[in-house]
Amino acid sequence: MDYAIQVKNLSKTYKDFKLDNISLDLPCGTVMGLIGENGAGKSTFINALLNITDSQYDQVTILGRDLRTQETLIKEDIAVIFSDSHYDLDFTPIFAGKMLSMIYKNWDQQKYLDYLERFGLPPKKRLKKFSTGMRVKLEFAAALSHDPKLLILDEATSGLDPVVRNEILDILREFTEEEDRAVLMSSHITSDLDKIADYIAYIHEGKLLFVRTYDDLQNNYGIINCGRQLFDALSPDDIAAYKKEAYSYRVLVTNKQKLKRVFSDIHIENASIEDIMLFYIKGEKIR
Amino acid sequence: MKGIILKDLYDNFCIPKNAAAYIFAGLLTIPVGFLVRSEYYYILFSMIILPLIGGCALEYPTEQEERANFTRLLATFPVSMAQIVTAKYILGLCSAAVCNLFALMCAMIQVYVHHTVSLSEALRIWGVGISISLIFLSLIYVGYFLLGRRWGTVFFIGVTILIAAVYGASTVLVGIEAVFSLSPVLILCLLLAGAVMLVLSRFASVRIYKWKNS
Repeated sequence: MDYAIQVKNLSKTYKDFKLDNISLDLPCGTVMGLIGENGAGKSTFINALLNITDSQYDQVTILGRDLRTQETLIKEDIAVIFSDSHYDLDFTPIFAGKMLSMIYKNWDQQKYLDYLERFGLPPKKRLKKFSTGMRVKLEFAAALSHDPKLLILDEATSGLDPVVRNEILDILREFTEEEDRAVLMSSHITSDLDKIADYIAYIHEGKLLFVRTYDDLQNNYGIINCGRQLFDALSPDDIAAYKKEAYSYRVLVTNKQKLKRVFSDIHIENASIEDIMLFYIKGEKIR
Repeated sequence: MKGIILKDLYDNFCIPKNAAAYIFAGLLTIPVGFLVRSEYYYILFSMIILPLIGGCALEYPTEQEERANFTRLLATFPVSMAQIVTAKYILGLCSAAVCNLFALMCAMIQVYVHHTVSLSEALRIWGVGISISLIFLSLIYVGYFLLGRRWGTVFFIGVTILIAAVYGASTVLVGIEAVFSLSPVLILCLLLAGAVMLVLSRFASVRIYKWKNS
């Protein structure tokens, strides 16, 4: 199996919003960051992938299985963590484990208890007495204890402090050490994706703007501060978006290496994922 | 499905405030049902109070799930929506069965200890109570799946008031003692109607659950 997720032409139409013909592949052994502004369609895409919401598609294959015919089998091998849906705060970790052991065939209770210990989570304390970070750690402990092959995170780390987020990123790195596993992670905290993502998929107003490797983005995207003369000299094909400032232009370019060769004295800043997002959302496009 | 039944049991009986509500309701009604020597209270107890308690098994899980938006997480588990709904109906049936078992024990006490009714009369009341509990469960569950916890509870109260009104009206108009002489065939028909309603209710609830969560 080469791909954890293969999606061809997935669409979902609401009255006032359309997720439009999304196609992407997530190779095994990698982490894909799903970015986009609020309401861009990231959660709708994840819901459609999980068949939580009805959608139209030519093909959705997860872990080599067809979503239409093998949904339950797929769900045995995936784990999902949402920011807005969680275990009942009256549960205790030990009860959550007992419940999940009756739901997942592959449930490993010992592994779960080990995770609880590793994350410092008291097994018999109700979740309402946990901090936000502890609750998210519990979600990870629960998610990882049935040996999933695909982890889907929908803003799972939002609201966490940097220390806990860093611990979570360590867990994700450890998870993807095995070649047959993959992570799809939507997040507003793009600095986390800078640390961990192998691929970035950018959804904007329901459309997939691009799916590129993180290295590709780093090597090819850049920001130029320039005057009108240089701006006019740039090929429109190399400009993703630009912002006009008082006396200059800030330009997000998509072909950094080529531009360095053409304009040898040009200074091109590296573009972070956040920069790229902001340019696409707030910047102007060359028609 | 076992995991979901376990979760709903936990929501009902292991969360202190919910368990307290059950204990309170049980303490208030069951001892009276066993101790009071009155065929009227016995009818009220077996045909209305216990069937209503049996229909409560969905209220607290719905409340807890809405509070945590757990339905979305539940949809990622390897269970179908039909299995989720069926699990909830199984627990509802189990709790109705427990309540009807209490009703049977009460019937035996009325027959052999208090001598207020004969065995055949007690069994008739018990049979009508079972069919009422099935019909009530069918209505209430569709109400909760369709309306959610808050309006589902309003619907629950509405149906309860309706049943109480029917009880009151029949006491005044035809005399509630008429239940004692219902033919066994009619009671069997009522039981069958209850079972059919429950099956239809489960199908309707699956459709509603899929519609609301897709």
